[in-house]
Formats: sequence, C-alpha cells, structure tokens
Amino acid sequence: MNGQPFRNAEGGIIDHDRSLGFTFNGRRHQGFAGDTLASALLASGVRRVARSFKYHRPRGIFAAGEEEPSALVQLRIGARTEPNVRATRVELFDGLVANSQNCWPSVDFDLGAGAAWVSRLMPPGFYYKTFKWPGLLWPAYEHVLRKLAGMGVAPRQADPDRYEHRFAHCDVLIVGGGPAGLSAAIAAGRAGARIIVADDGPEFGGSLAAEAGPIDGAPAREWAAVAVAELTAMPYVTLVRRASVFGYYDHNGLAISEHVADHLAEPLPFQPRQRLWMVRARQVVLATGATERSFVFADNDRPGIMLASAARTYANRFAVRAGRRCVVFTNNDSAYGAAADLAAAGIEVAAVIDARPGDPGPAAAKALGTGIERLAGHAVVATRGGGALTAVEVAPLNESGDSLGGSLRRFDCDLLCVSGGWNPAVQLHAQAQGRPVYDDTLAAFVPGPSVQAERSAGSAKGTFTLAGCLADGMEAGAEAARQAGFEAAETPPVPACEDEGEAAPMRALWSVPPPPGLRRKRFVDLQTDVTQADVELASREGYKSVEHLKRYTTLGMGTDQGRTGNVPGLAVLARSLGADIPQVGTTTFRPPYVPVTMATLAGREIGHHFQPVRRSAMHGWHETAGAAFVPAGLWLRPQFYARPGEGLWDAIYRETVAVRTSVGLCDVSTLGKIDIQGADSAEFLNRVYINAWSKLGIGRCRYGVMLREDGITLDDGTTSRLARNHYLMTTTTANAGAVMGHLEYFLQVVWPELDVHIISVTEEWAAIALAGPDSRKVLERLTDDIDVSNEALPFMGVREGTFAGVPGRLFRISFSGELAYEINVPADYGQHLWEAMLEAGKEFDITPYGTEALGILRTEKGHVVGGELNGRTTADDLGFGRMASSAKEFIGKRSLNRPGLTDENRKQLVGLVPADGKTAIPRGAQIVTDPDQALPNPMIGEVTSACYSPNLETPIGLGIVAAGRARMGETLYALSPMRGKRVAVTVTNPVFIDPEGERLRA
Amino acid sequence: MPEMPQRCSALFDAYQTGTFGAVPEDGPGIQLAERRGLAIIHLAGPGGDENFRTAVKGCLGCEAPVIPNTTATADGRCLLWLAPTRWLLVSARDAPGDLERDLSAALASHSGAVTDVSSGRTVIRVTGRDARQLLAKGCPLDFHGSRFKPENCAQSILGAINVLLHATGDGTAIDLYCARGFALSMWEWLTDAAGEFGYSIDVAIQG
Repeated sequence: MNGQPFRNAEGGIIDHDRSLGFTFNGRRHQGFAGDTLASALLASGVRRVARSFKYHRPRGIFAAGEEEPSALVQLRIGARTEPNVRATRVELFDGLVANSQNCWPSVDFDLGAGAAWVSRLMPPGFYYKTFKWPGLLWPAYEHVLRKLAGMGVAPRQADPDRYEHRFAHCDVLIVGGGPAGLSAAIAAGRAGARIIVADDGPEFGGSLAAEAGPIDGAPAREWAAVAVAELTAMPYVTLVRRASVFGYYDHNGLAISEHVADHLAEPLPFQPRQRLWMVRARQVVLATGATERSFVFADNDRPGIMLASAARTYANRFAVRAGRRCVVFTNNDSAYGAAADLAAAGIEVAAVIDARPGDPGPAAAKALGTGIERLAGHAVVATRGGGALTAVEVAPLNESGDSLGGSLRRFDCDLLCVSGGWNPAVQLHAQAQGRPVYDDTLAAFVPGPSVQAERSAGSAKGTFTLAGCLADGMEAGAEAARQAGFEAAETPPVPACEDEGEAAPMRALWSVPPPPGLRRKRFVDLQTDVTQADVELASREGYKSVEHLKRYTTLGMGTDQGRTGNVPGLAVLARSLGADIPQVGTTTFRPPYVPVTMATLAGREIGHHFQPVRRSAMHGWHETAGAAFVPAGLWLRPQFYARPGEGLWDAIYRETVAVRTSVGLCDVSTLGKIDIQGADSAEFLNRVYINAWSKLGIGRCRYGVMLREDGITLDDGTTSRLARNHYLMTTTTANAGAVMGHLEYFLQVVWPELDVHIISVTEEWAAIALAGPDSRKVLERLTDDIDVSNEALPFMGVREGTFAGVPGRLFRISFSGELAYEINVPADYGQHLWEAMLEAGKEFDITPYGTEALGILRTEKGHVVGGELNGRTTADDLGFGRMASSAKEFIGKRSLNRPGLTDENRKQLVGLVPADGKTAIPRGAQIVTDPDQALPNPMIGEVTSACYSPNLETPIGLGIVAAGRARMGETLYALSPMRGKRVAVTVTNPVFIDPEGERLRA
Repeated sequence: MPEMPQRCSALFDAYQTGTFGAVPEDGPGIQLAERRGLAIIHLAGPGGDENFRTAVKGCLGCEAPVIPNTTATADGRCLLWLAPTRWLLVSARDAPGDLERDLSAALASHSGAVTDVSSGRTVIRVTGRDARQLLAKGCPLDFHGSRFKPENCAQSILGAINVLLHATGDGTAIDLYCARGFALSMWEWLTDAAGEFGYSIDVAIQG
C-alpha cells in the first residue's frame, strides 16, 4: 500500500489523496499531507529513528507532540540544516530530507554503541571524576571530549532565511488552542476583549482533532471548527498557529516563537521562517494541556515503546498503526480509551497490564469491552528485542510496588503503550513565579497560587475530562476578561459532552523493580540517558537537592526539559532519600519552554542591521572620495582619504602636514552640541563648569571643563555666547549623550528653579573645521558679511553670517593648534558648504583630513581626548587645575579636597618622547622607572596617546604619570610585555607644537 | 552673494520611488514617503502658564497641548507634546528661519526657548493597511486603534533608533521623526521590514 505498510486506507485528518515524498537516512518514503515526519516514518515502518545521547542505544518514536525525548533528527541539508529537531513536531513537506544523528556509520549499525558496553565505567560525573587530574591535561581531554559531546551538526553556511520580531499587546493571551483554550477564547472574545490565542499546532483544536469524544452530539472536531470560525470573525481576536509560548517574564510579558514557514520546503519570498512575538498581556489563560509519562522498568527505551496517548494520536489523527500487536501498560483509566482506539484502528491489543489491583472506572471498562485480556495488579518488568521491541515480560506487583510476585509471563508484541499518569504542563505557570503543588490523587504537580495575572485551565490545571476542560476554559476566559476590565463578561454555557462517569483512582507507580537477576538499564530520562541507578548513585554521593541532582546527572537537561522524565526522577530521588515528593520539590522552570533557534532571538538584528549607524550630512561625499571610515560611538567618521596609489600612512602624513603648512578641512559634525537658553544660563554654566562664565561677552567662546560629582573630569569643550541669554555648548563626540543626560538631570531634579532650557542640536548643524595657516584666506572667499580679520574676529570669537549663501555660525577655535575656524550650517546644507569650501580652497590645495590626522594634530598640541578623559583623571591631573574658580560653587568642587584627589603622587598629564628620538612609543604601554625590576614591577603611569609626528619628525606620546609634572626631563620606560616592547622615554611638556599659541592667534 | 541652495535630505541618495517586496494582488500593504521642506521648531516653556500658552496660540494659531502624547493642528501648523515643558512645532507652510524668528519674538517676554531643528529631523510618513503591523516589528508601543488614536503622538524606539511617532489626520498615516544622522539606518530598517507586506516608495511629500 504505497510503501506505507502501517497506514490505514481511511481515517484520520490527513489528506489521503495528497502524497508527499521524503527521504530519511537516504531512503525514499511516502507520506500524506497532514503528516508529521514521525507519523510518516511510523506509517512506512521505520522504527529506529535515533541513537541516544550517551549510550548510543537505538531509539524510536516515543511521543506524538512537543514532549518527544527520543526521535531527534538532523532536519534538512545544507545551509538550512538543523540538529535536534523533534520528528513529532516536523510537518511533512514534499522533498523533506532528514537524517539520524549521533550515530556512525548508520542508525542501524552504530559504532558509538560501544559506549553501552563500557557504560558501567561511565557513572554520573564520569568526566569530572576521571579527567580532573592532573589539571594541566584538561585541555587535552577537552579536545577529545568536545568531539564526543553534543548531538547533531550545526550548519556551516550562513542561514539564508529571515527571522523577525514583533511586539503585540492584548487584554487576554490564551496559551493553547485545545478544548480549554478555545473555550476560554470564546468566553473572552464574546466579552469584547482583545485576545491572542497561540497554539503550537498547524490547526486549532488540540485533542479535539482526534482524541476527544463528541460534543453536542457531533464529532469534537466540528465543535472546534465552529469555535475557530466564530473567533476568526471577531475583529479583536488574533489566532496564531504554529506558535509556541516559550517564556513567561515579568509584568505579564510573554515570548512566542511562531514557526511561520517551517512547514514549507523554503519560505516564500520576503516571508520570515520564524517570528518572535513579545507580548504584553493584561491577563493570561494557560491552557497548555498535560503530558503523559512513562514508568521506569528494565529496557524501557526500546523502539516500539510509546506513550499510550501518542499511539492513540497516530491511530486517530494520522490513520497510522504504531505497531501490529501491542501491550498496554497503565496505572490509570486514560489508557483504556487508547487501547480501544488502537483496537479499532486494527492493532491487535494483546493485553492491558494495569498496575492497579482493582477494576477501572465504568467508562474505561466499557471502552475496553470484553475481547481484550486485562491483568490487574501487574506490571511490565522487562522488554525484549534487538533493534526494536519484540516482547515484554509481565509479573504481578506487590502492594507497595517494590517487589514482584509470581512468575514472569511473556507477551510477544512490537508495540508497548505506556501510561504512567499525566503531568499538567505547569512550566509557564512556574516561570511566572507560581509554585506548583503536588497533588496526591493525580500523582503530579498542579498549578499553585498565581503570582502574576494568570490562571490555568483544563488539563494544565489537572482537569482531565472533556466536559471539565470546556467548563474550565469558559470560566477562565470569562474571569480573565473581567479582570482585564470587561466586567460584563459572562461564562458561556458549556456544550453537552458524553458522561464519562467517575474514573477509578490511579495508582502512583514510578518504577517497577526488575526481575531477579536481570541487570538492565532502567531509564528515567530518555533524552539524557539518565537511569534509576544514576539517580540513586547521586543520592548516595550526597546530592540531596534536586537542583544538584539535575546538574550532576543531567536529568531533565535535554531539549525536552525533562517533560516525561522529571517527575519519575523526583520520585526515585524521594524514595532514595526516604522523603516525600513534595519535600524534594521540583527544579526551577526557566525559559525557553521549548527549543528556540538562535536566529529567532536575533531576528533582523544581523549584518548591517545589527546596530544603527549615524552619518553626517557630508557622509555621501566622504564615501565618494574613498574615505576609510572608523566607528565613533554609532557615528561613522572618515578616518583618512587615501588617494589612488597611496598607503594608509601616506594619506595620514599628507593630511597632517597640509594642516600645518597650508589648509585642511575636517567633518566635525559629530561633536555634541547643546543649545542653552534662558535667563539663568550663565549661572547654569557657572555651576556645571569649573571655570567662570559670568563675564563671557556676546560673540565670544571659552574652553570649559566639567566634573562629575565625585570630582573626576567628565568632559571638556567650548561654549559660545550667541546672545544675552543664549549659549551653545560643545562636547566631545564620545560624551555627547552622557553630558546631555548629566545636564538634564541637574536641571530637572536638582535645580528646577533655574530658568534654563537645553536641547541637543548635534543633529541640526553640520560642522566643518577649517584649519591651517591659509584658513583665513579660504574663509574670506566663503563669506561676504563677516569681517574675518584678526582684529575683527580674534581667537575665540564667534560670529553669525552667511557662508556660500547659507546662514550659519562661525567659531574661531582650534583643536589642531593652527589658525583655525569651525563653521556650522544647518545639516541640510552641510554637503553644499563642504563642496563650496573645497572650491574656495582649491588654490591653497585644501585637503580634507580624517580622524587619524586629527588625532595626530591634537596630540602634537597636547589636547586631551578619551584616553586622558578616562574617568579617573581630575582637572588638575590634566593641567586644568588653575582654571577652577575658587569664587563659585560647581559640580564636583566639594570632592576636590578629598585626600585621594589632592595626593601629590597623582598621575598627571605629561608629554613623552623616545629617548633615542626614533622608536615608536607603544600605545597603552605601562610606564615604570626601572624596566628590569623584579615583578611585580610598580607601574607609575601609562601611555594614553601615541603617534608619529610628521611635523616634528619623531614619535611622540601623551601619558599620565605619577607626579609627572615634577619629572620633566626624566627618563622612564614604556613597557608593553604582551607585545615584547620596551622603550626608554623622556618626560616633556605635553604641548609639542607652538606652546605659546602664536599660530592660533595669528 | 550666491543663491541660497536647496535643502538636501539625509535620504536624498537612497530615495528611489517604486514598488518593492512581496506585493499582494490588492497592492502593497505599505506606502512610504519622506516629508521634505518642513519647518521643525523645538519649543520649550512653562506649559502650565496660561499667558505663555496664549502667546503661543497668538503667534501660531495653534494651541500648545497639555495632555501628554497629544497634538494640536491648525492652519498648517502642528504642535506635538513632548514633555510638560516641551513641544515640537511642525509647519509645512513656513520657512524655518522665519518661524523661529516670529515665535521667538512672540515669546520674548516669557521664559522659554525656541530652537530651529528643521535640518536635524528626518520625517518619514508610513501609510497603508499594514502600517501598524510594520511598526509593531520594531516598536514596543501598542498600535491598536483604541490606544494610539488619531492625533496622538508618542516617543519610543523603532529598531534601535529613537523615534517620535505621530498618528496624523484620521490616524491612517503615521509620521516618524528621527534624528537626521539615523535617517538612513531607519530607512534601511523600514524597507527591510516592509518587504513582507509589499511596499511602495512614493514621491517625497513637499511639506
């Protein structure tokens, strides 16, 4: 039958007419539209799907949903390949390619399975115990262990797909679209609440699709379809399919990973493959369902052993028989319905093994009928099989469940359906700081009191009947709507369901003792290969805290977060410690609840979208001119403009010399600019700068230094007085944001009484520095309404006027130490002015210069920047001590008298030149007095700036050196041991060029 | 004296009209257009002072709104609330320098500050049926019509860029104001995020 021997010709909710081809481990198979990879593999009779993590034991498909611990595959090939994908969560598409992982050469014959032979030598903590000594050899061990560790292969190529983010807001977020979730959505939606319903499947309905009984006399699926149609018609309802809510954060913030296009061979053009939703919900309903769990018994991991609910899902939803002949092993009533459905699907049910000595509830008994043998008070104690299950051994179990009675009975079967009870999915509740509580009747943790605005409904809360889930959902949805402000929300009537009668109590059974003499592995956690013996050993070794046990044994640390294994593991630990399960407690539940790809978390913040870039108004010109760019904060600044044939240093040298000998221009738009207005502006400046501002005239500017409250230098720059109550402050590029925040804080919080208004105008003005002995001549050609003569516009003068037709501001300031100006025009005219300046300066060979030349020029002049304004230097350290006014208060003044800041041995700004006049001074080097002193050699300073000075034709540097100003002429040593450098340096005045300032006043 | 040159937008080089992305049958879900040539003035002053507000209205014909995140429009001028003492004045019919001068003069006897920031802001208008879905990709605000209403404004982020959002007119168009230096990055973000809906870049709006 089409190569699908385990597929029924009819039934299920798959499309039997749409065949899809796929390849698993190199073999072609067929499935149908609506299949998962797991259901299609089962239909084709593929039973061994994976090899286990530690022991490389063959594993099959264990579950049908997101709890799958075993069937992890390498999905797709090439750049889109993805490891550790649960086959149960992969929607089949035509051409799908998947491969088993963690095995070589094949899943059927895996050399790694040798690990099982030596497994007795590999207890928990094996690596720590074995490879810890000698410590020096750990890197060698690690090299080998790295290769053994991990599962699957990460792609080597860049991911070709898009991953996106989006924010969303709602009154009620409903997690899960099964019976409880849909009911909650109906209730909240009818109340008019804005809701989002997220379900991890391709269609809403959850268990209504195939497992649940009729509602209102019709198949449950039809009720679900009507509910979805009603919700779709509500304008305020957003239904999100293939969407896993994986994180519950503070203030009802939840994260959803939506698999937009994972069900396609590749996404449509511009379609994201996955989307991360960040939702802020007023109220949350958790209708996350419950997960069935297994038992611990000998060889309980063979392919063919499956959760009873999963086998039922494969039969009902996919028309797939998970085996030919099955045994059902249960401790509760739910597996009876499963057994009946399996029988109806054509699977021979050899027996139902019920751990309970008594009878099941009437509904379960009725479902099972009379044709199937039932063994009460029995348990499956061991299994047989080579690559997959062939038989199970069954024995009577005593009352306390710790010993077997009677003889073993063997059932041949290729399918064992296990149902050890149900764990409500309390993970999100617990992430929201709820504390799950242990329910003895259910032998499971159920949600405790809520801390955030959330409530659980349906089987997530421990309600396991269909009618109960629907009622629960209706009530929770209405309550959530009321809490979100829709006070009139009513609980809709619950539709009629079949009376399921009273279920018989379950028997809390975790672990079945092995038959005498049988020493086989009994797994607690299938994904991480943790056995009962491992848990018991850890307990004997003193790991009494469940959190420690988890980390020591790796119990629950797989991608399934211990969905099926954690609670049995806790039970085994509790018994081993002689404690109750509630005393042992649970481990902490943390996001992500389901695996989330890194790409989804990154979204579009990749490549040049990783962070935004700030560009000046002249950026386009710089690009065209072939500038190399350097990031300065988020700004991109031209570093140098290399001409064809020029090397980096040639360009920097040429640009630097041009400024000292003729004229250059530099884009300085990135400097921070703050507009200050108001009657108290001068007073404000007095308070924020160390120097005095009251007497600054209109049309003048002044250099200022500002401190933090602790007395350390914050920033420096010039401030100009444009009008009586109007100033313009400049800051360094790097500190623009920090200074603005500093000033805003003092104005808004500390001195609200000052009549001062500040606003950043950095972006409003394009700023161009014009520097060099010929700069005035260039300026004369640019403006005809300002007298730029030395007499009319002296050093530190400011004028407003027109430049190449554009109104702007002119500042006679200098960073380079040359005769220099800075022109500001509105940024929309920046490039126009730049080009006009180049034109006007043509005859003087005007030269654009970048940050490299700028850095050399200012170092030659001894101006401080980030290396010196490093958050540790005071104004006095930098030589500005005498600027500080004693006649006024200013921020940081009170701190200046602290002993640490007046210490004579503080590091002070000095100039450094190599003693031999030619060896480069290593930037960042440590300064010592004696390079040969034994370690630790006391460091008395550091090199903060260093360059080769084209104008002095020698390397120079700036440094901060203990009591540096008293060391003029002394020879010290700049050491950079990491680079193997050692340079004798002479301490000098930090101003190397024109210390009298004649040039800038020329 | 040379002619006053044209203002040059930060998006001038990148701006290319046309239709892009996965355009559905019923046309692109997003329209993008830059608003150019605006006068944009930052106004600071005592919002609680009746006389100040009267002076503002007398000069502009437009109220300075006092309710947070609201705007007032009159006579081609719009005042957007930024803070209890701050507004952004946007005019499509004034020259920046004239407006700055006139408003400064009108407020000369009041505490306050008038600062021209016309060159320092780039304004991009986003319209179309998917406009709010597009913004939800990078802005954590609630764009539902009941929360972000016509004539509301808000300051937030888009991607990683500070943005002022203004639901203009009946709220179908949202104007985004960002710092000029970030304009190209913002444009790149928008055109990347809009691909899924299909988008058109329309001729820049003068004013």
